[in-house]
Amino acid sequence: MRKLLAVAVVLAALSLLRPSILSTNAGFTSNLADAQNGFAGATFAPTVAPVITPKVKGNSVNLSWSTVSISSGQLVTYVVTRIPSVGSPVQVCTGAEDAPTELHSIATCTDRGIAKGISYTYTEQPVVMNGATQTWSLPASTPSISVSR
Amino acid sequence: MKINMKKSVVTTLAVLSAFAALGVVSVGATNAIFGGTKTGSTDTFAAGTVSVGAGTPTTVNCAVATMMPGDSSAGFGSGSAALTKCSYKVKYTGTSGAWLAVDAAITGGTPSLFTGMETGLQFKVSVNGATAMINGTTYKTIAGVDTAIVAGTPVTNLLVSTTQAAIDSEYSIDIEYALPLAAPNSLQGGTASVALTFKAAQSANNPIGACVANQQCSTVTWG
Repeated sequence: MRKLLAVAVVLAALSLLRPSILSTNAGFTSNLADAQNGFAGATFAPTVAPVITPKVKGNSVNLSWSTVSISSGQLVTYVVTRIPSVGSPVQVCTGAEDAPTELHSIATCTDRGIAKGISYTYTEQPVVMNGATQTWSLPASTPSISVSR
Repeated sequence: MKINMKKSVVTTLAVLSAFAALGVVSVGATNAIFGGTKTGSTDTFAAGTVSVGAGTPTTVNCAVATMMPGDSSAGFGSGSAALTKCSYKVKYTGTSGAWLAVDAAITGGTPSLFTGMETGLQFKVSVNGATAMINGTTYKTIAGVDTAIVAGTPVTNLLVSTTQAAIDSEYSIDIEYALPLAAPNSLQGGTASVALTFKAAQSANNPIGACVANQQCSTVTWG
């Protein structure tokens, strides 16, 4: 009987507590969550700039390398640099006539400015232009094998 | 025998008192003999509602891939303006007056396109074309102070309006975005996401205080 009395007391106490529990309610609220909105940046493929293969032909050097693409589909151009054994590096394959061209995933251009007695290596750097502004690029390739006239 | 009877009475009283306390038993309802009743008018009490639902037209969630520096949505105000904004369409469906707010959770991957700097991904979040509550990489506190958003830390309780929402009022929560031309190479392949939550809280007995539209409002109890 004591147990029963105890239960009765607990139930009665709970009934007294009930209004105060309700009073702590923060009020009516409602939420609706949206699905996530995702954003992803473009990527180059491959992610490492291919090494140039140089071939001396008379007074010039024919340069070729595998092309690079970017997932955004924009045109990838190349900054080709001649690194002489003596002197400072120079950008080559510039201008409408000498700019690199692409065929079957191979880019080519010709360096017509080599001098006798100096050896050269070459690098290329894939870049994407937005108007006149260079945006994303890959680090320049490792230097090619050395060639000379 | 006397003791058992006493126990029985006490037991019955205990049970009855418990049920009575809980309001389960209505004492006196069984007294019908020689009784007369007069039914008065019925007092009814109906609670209002605070609820939100999908709006129209359909929500446009963004899945923008292969972003490049200079890319932006049409209404961002700079950049290519060639991409479509994200648009979360919602409706207030409650019957009670309510305050409305937006939570925005910006997260970043590895690397994160959202760096919190002016060279990372920028967002402009606005409701029905009003002033942006998230502008670039910041939001305003209740005091109007521009505060940097940190990826992974949600921005909460951005008040839609200081006017209570009307039933069936529709809202378009728009996200305009841009990746600046100056975005560094380190962001190649980066990702970020924005998740929005539309919230309503009863306006009765829930004062809005000094809150300002399109700024954070934490004085309201949002639940």
